[in-house]
Amino acid sequence: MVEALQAEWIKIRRSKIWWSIVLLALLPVLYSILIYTKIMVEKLHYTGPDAWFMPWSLIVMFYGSVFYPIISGLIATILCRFEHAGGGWKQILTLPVSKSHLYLSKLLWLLGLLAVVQGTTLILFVGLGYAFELDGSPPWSFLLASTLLGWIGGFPLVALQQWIASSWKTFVIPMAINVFLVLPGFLIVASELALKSPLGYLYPWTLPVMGMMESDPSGVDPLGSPFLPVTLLYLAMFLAGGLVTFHRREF
Amino acid sequence: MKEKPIAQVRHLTKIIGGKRIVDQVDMDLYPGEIFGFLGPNGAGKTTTIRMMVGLMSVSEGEVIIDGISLKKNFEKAISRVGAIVENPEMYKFLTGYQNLVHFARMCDGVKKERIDEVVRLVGLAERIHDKVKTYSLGMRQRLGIAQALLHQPKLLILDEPTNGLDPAGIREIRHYLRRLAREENLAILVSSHILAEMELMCDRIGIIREGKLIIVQEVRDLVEKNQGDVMVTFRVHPLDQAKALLSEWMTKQPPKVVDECIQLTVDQEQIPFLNAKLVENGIQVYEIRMESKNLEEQFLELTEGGVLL
Repeated sequence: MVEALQAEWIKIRRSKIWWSIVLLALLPVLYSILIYTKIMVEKLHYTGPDAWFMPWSLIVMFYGSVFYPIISGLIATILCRFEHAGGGWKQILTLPVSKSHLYLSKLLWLLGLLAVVQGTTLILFVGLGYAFELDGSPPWSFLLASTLLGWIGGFPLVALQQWIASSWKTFVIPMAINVFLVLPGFLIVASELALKSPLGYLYPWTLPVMGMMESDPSGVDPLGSPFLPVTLLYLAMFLAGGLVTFHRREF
Repeated sequence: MKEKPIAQVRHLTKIIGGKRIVDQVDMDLYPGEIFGFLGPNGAGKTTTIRMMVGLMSVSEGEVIIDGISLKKNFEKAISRVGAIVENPEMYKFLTGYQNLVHFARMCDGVKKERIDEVVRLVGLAERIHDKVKTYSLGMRQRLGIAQALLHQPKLLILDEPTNGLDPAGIREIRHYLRRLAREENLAILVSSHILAEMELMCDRIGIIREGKLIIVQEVRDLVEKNQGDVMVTFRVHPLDQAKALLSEWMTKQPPKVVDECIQLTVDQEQIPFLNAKLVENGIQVYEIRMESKNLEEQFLELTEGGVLL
C-alpha cells in the first residue's frame, strides 16, 4: 500500500495539478475579499462585529459551494486520467498489484490533495486579508475549524467523483456531470434551503459548504448535527460502490 | 527443449453475450521459446491474452502459470507474468526512468539494480532520462517491454508488439526478443496478424480463427517441408509441345498453363534434369522461375483457403 502511494506520488508531483489548485482557490478568495472591502465596506459602509468573519462567509458561499466541489472533481479526473490516457490501467493491472490498493491509494491522495486545497484557500485568505488591511487579527480557531470541517465534507464528494472518473475514459463527461450537479448545490445554499431543510446534508455537493458553516464565531458543535454521520456514511457508500465497480470492470 | 511448460492454457473460453469469443484454447508455452499467436483482427487473440494476464475474467477453462492456477492464486500466478497489452504509451510527461521507477514501486521487491538491468536489456540506457514524449514508437515499445520485465517474470506476453513500427523498429524488437528468450530463458508469447513477422521471430506458431486455436506448428518444420517440393514456372516455346512432354514425364502432378507459361510442382533436384530434357527435345527455354511456397500459402492450405489477413 505504501508502495502504491509512492508510485502515485511520482505522477502527481510532476503533473499540472498544482497550478489548477492555486488558481481555482485564488479566484473565489480574491473575489470575496474585493466584494467585502470595495463594495460592502467602501460603498455600503458595512460595519460588522468582526472584519474577518464576513469575507470568510462570502468565501464559504462562493468557494465552498462552487469552486471547491469543482476542484474536487477536477483532481479526481486528473488522477484517473493518468491511467486513462495511455492504457495505464492495463499496464498496472498486468503487474502483481492489487486492484483495491491501486484504487485506495488514489483515494488517499485525493483526500490529501483536498487538504492542500483547503490549506491553500486558508493561506490565501489570511494573506490577502492582511494585504487588504482587514481590521484586527484573523480568528484562527474559527477559521481552522471551518477549513477542517470543509475538508471532511469533501470526502464523500471526492469518493463519488473518483467512482465516476474511473468509470469514464473521457475527461469531459465526469467534469460536465460535476459542474452540472454543482449548480443545484449552490442554489440550495443561496436560497437558505440548506438551513431550513435537511436537503443541505443529503446532497453530496453541499456537504463541503455545510461543513464550513458548522463553525461559527461562537464555537463549533459538529457532534450535535447530522453532518459527521452523513459524511461518513456517504463516504463508505461511494467508496464501496467505486471499489466494486472497479473490481468488476474488464480492461 | 521440451522442458516443463511455464504456462499451460487449458480449454480457455470467453463467452460475451452468448457468443464464444474464445473457444476452448489449449496451449503450452516453454522457457526459451517464442510462441507466435497468429490470427486476423477480431479472432480472439487479445481477448485470450487479456484473460491470461487477469485483465478479464475467464468464462471457462484455466490458465496455469509455473504450476500455479491463475484462478485460485491470482497474485502469485500473475507475479510470474510480464505483459504489454496493446500499445503501451507510458506516462508521457515522465522520463523513461521515472516510468520504470513508478512501475517498480507498484510491485514488491524490485531494486534499483534491476531497473538498470532491464534498461540495458532493451538497449535504452542512453535515452532513459529523457521524457517519454520524445521517444519514437519503437523506443516506447521497448520501454514497455522493460517495464514488463521489472519483476523478473518467467513468461512475457506481448500483444501486437510490432504494431505501427517501421521495418527497422520491427527488426529491433525481434532482435531484443530473441535475446531475451535466449539469455533470460523466458517463455515469450507474441501475437500478431502478420505472418511474415511471425515466421522470422517465432519458434512455434499457433493460428487462432473465430476464437478457436486451429493449428500449432513448429516454424522449422514448416520451412523444412518447403525445401522438397517447389512450384516452378517454365517460360518456353512452343508451349503446347512442351506441355505434352512435361505431362509425359510428370504423371503424378500434371503441369498447368498459367499466363503463357507452364507451371508444375516438382522436387527441386529435378529442375536441371527437366531443363536438359526440354532442350534435348528442341524446346526453347527462356526462363525457369521457382515460386517457393511460403508459410502463408501453407497456412492458407491448412486453414482450407480461409482468409487470414
